[in-house]
Amino acid sequence: MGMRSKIQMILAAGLLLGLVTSSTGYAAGKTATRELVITELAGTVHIKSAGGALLRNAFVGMKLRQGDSVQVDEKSFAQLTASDSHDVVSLGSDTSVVLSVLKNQGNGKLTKLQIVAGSVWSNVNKLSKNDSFKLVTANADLTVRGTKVLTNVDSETGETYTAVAAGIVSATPNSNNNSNENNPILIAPSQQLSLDSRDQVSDLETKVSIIDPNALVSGTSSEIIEAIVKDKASIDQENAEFIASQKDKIAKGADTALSRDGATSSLSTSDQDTLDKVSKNLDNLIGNVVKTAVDTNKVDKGKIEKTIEEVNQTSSKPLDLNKVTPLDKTAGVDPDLQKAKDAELKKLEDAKKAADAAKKTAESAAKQKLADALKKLEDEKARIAKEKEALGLNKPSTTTPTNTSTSNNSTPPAPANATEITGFTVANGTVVGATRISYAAGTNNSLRIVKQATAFTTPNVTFDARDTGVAYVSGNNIANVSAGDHIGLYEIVSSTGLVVKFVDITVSGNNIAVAPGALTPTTDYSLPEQGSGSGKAKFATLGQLPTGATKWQIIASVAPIATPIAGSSFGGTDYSAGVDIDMSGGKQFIALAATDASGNVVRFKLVEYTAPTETPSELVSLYFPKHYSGPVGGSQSDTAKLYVSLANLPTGATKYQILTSTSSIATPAVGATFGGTDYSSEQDIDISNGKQHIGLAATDASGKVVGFVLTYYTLPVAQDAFSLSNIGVGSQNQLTISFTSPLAESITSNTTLSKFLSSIVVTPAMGAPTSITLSSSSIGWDTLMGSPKLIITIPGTTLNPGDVVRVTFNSGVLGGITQTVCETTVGSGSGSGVPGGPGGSFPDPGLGGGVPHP
Amino acid sequence: MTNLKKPLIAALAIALIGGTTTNAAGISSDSLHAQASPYRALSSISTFAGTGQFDDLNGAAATSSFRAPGSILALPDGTILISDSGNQSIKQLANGVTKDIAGVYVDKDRLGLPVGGLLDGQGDESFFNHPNGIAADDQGNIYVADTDNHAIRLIDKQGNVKTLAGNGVEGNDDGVGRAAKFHSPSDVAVAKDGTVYVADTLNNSIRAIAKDGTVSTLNAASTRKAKSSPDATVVVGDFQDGALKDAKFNEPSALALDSKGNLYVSDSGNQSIRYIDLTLGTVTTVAGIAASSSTGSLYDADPLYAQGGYADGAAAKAQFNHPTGIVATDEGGLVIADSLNHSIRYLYHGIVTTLAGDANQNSGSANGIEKNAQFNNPTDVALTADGRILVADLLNNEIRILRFAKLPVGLPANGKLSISLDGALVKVDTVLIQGTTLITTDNALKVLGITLPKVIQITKGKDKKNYVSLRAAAEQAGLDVEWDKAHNHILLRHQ
Repeated sequence: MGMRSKIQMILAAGLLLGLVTSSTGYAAGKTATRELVITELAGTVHIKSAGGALLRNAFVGMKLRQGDSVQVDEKSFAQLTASDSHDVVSLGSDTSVVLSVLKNQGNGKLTKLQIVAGSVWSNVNKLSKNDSFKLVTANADLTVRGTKVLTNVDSETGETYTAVAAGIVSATPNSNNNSNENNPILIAPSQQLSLDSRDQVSDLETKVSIIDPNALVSGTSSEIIEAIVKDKASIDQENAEFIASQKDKIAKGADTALSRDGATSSLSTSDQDTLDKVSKNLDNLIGNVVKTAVDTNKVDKGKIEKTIEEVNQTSSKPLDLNKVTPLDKTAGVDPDLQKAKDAELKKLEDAKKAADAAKKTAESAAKQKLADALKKLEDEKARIAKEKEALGLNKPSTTTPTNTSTSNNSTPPAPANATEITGFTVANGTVVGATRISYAAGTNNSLRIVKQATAFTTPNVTFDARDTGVAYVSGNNIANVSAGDHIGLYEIVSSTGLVVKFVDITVSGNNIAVAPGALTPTTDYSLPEQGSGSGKAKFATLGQLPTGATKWQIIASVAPIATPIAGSSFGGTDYSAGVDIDMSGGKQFIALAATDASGNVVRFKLVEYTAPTETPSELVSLYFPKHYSGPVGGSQSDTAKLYVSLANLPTGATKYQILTSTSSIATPAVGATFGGTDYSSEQDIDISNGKQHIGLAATDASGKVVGFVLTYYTLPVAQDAFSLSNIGVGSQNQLTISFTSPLAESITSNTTLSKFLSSIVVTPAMGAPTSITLSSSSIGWDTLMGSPKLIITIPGTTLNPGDVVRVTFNSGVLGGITQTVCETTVGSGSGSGVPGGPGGSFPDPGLGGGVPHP
Repeated sequence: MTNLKKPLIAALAIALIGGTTTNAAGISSDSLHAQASPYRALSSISTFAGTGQFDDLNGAAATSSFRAPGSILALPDGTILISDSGNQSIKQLANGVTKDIAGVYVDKDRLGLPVGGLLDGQGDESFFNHPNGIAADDQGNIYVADTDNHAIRLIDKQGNVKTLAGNGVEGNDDGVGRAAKFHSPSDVAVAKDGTVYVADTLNNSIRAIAKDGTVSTLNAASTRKAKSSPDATVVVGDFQDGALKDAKFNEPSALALDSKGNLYVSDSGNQSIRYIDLTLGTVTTVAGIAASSSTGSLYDADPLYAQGGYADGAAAKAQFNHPTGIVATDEGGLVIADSLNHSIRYLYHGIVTTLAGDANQNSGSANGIEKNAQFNNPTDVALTADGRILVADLLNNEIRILRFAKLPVGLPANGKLSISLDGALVKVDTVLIQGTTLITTDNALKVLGITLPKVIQITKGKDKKNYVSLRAAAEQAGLDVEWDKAHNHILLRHQ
């Protein structure tokens, strides 16, 4: 690091950006790109912008986009927050990740992090249906939905380790053995997966077990353990919801198995006794992790205790390290499955030991063989390092406020230290976690501040502090401050940046604004549901008001509302359970507070409300074969049926409805009430009296149209006692019906058209059927050669390819023949619906009829 | 659309090899194209080498493993060279077996990654530091852009590793051999006359190493400055077409010589493909956003790089997202590893198309037909003598291969409709009704292996057999259906 003073500074939460809080909301626009913002930083972190070769210094507030890669050095830390979904990803020391996917696609927010090496803690909020959050390692793909999950990758051994603190992770082995054994499995809260290599096991379940705190802590950096502890409240909440939902299932006798998209979890919570054990493990999880970390000197005991103290202030389940019970390795575990796993694991372990030993031998042999080369290599390394140092070419490092008192300033006389600032006051901030300093700087001077966990050394008067910390306006909030933090307040000459005065302020807990206690879902309030109409929500029930509170208040908002300070005026409107809350204009957050009589906050919770899916604004054209096929004949005469696919119902639709008519049915407007009858696949449809136009609609639960298609059922030809011969395209004036067997002479001697024919109908490929006027037509019999033919002379009629010509006889006029109908498709070379030889149209294997390509 | 034809200018291909290869097959002229998108050549992608495990294992291609293989070169004799960047080595893949030919490591860093170094010597006693682009001359010498050693290395026919230029310290000095300095060079190309061209990435320039080892700079150095962070201002790349001596680049990452001996440059930071006419001494932008943007607006979104995007079509309007490795084809086209679109693109006759990659440009590792296959940061491409494309799939730690679909042999001479499944001709009974080809349910099941879905329209044939729409049945069974009108041929492909 050369001459640069290397002070290991932990730039805690929100330093630089966000230190001076403004009320900027989270107005996330709906663009294709998304971003992760660096919200915390410590030590040395480098960024390579997507595709670029240049290594950049990371800084708090830096926006990272898809394709960027992040490298966290030794004793360093970075916290990344998605600006739209507020998912938080913490990266520990010696970590390298690539932000593979970070974009909007369709209606979904997609996130995919490829972990090359290191330790990653993800706190992912509940995702909506189209969102996806994936962590990818060389061995496995982990799909996360509303989960707090730790993932460690040891790139030297190739091991992937993941532990689920809350929520459920689906894991798929990342293998090229495209065998059907690559099925995803679920990892449930309190479980871990430890995978040595991608093809180690054919069934990932073998490597799933209850979290072993030692295994967890050994691969996790101290900063990440700290981050886990800080997320305890959200972990507890998600687990409470999980336990409550499983408890409910047990009580109702419902299936308690955990499954998602065909994958299942081995964690069993089938009875209350087992569920209690699992619940106990969840309650003790973080305690065990912290205890192990302290015992193995992974974390500084004093520091972590301080963090726990802070977390406990707002926690409904405070953590007490003296009351931690070890995790129960059998909680929710099937003993038979475990036995099989143990045997398999023993084998794997032995194989790995042998492989590791072989690797070690090979490595030391290589070193021996390369002894001479390695010596020369070291010389080269030394030369390069020396040359680089002479040229000042060192890796860029995160700028830390320079401390001037380094050891090599002994030769020149040391400049005087800045004088100490006096007459300042420290007070509570106006937002949670903030403090404020009031101090008036001299004329032409300005203030800068730096926050850190350790004490400052007073800078000297030659120090230019313009790039140190951030500018500060007296009385503004300094966010995310913890008791014991040091704030360096610099008074500098605005034009030169030289420090005039300085003070190191240690912040006391009394001067930090604290959050009110959190309200708990189900106990204090029921999750918001739709009110009396769209754009309205309500809390159906509210619990007992907490001590000190006399009423409920709410504020509905488009953006999340910051947690107010305990005892501050909430400024909401009074609320009682069941009353409609106006959520119009895209509001999706409801701040709920229990307040005292004058409206000051006692307890608080920000609740997100997702309105039920609106019907899409555009009508979906239902098409074959995705949504339906048919119609074909039904089980009774005068019935037809359709095959409809429930699986392919368009978004927003929950069922199909049909309407029948003797004439064409107009396309309904989207959202209109269809007024049909509910229809399930293959149900008979009454088509009697010519109700052959069948309108099929996909509708929502209340019968409002989402999609529509009009179909037409052509009555089937009963039997082939006679058929209508092929007809060419163009103007035609003759139809020929061929009979398969001789007819009585009494029939073939009669040429009264009206005796025989009921109708001749032409149904075009597109459009409504038309009838050929029978009064202008005549018939004649041809009995000269074999079986008889009926020749019908019709007025000149233009026929197009695809037109179906149908001739219907009066019933009972053809002797014993019950068939009354025959038809042919113009230009297809087919008669009576039977395909013939090659036709005139081109042989695209398409579906024909303008059906869109799926 | 013709069946694969004989190379037109195979003789030229031999003269120019390297990150420089021109190749036998014409991708656009020789392959089958999708009817829906006439520019999309039909192909299938599979894994050629590597298990995907982030490791260092030699042996059979299928069970070997790499750590971020960054660059790839196909030699005329069929040998493939792989720059296994993360393993600090150059690997050879011949006869289905991988082995190291140069570069070793003994130590790993704190992240567990192999540590490189700079040392010449026999291949198995030599050290590299994140080697990247590879090229070969017609004497059998191999050139390597040794990125983090800021040097150009040479592996001679005997397997000795030498340093051609650069000395381990970054800089921007012209000079002879080790006196010259580079900054993170990422690719090389060797001309017929022995000149080695270097994509000197972080100097934003194209350098040339003459036969006598003298290094010169072909274009103007960028002087544009931008903040890389609030506290650091750095010189970054720029954009300028015109005279080569005044031209500017932005992190040029790859080079390819075409059959005329001119240089294509993958100008990653400008999201564009540039072309250096070495005879005329000019630079033009042949594809990408820089071709149609005003210079001033290129860096509006990000002070460092032009905005990446994805668009096929007219080259000047086409968009890339950090194009990297490139290779020129005989027919005058250029195959492009479009790294952050996770796609393989093709520039031909002023049109950019996508040869393969995820429909939404997402990363992944799926094998399959061109529109379903996925890559994860593909950074280089190479062409084999028989017209296949090899892809260095960096973050999948694999070498992938793209094989173009061909018409099966034995098509009916009379132009009658024929059908193939995965390239092999199948015999099925078909009828045609209203422009729809139908096949019997029996054929669908027994010949095409299609299990018919529950909901499908069945038509009774004259022959009393049950018929179904071929496309409907095949697509519901997950097969891709393409129709080659010229040959009246339906291609069915497993996806």
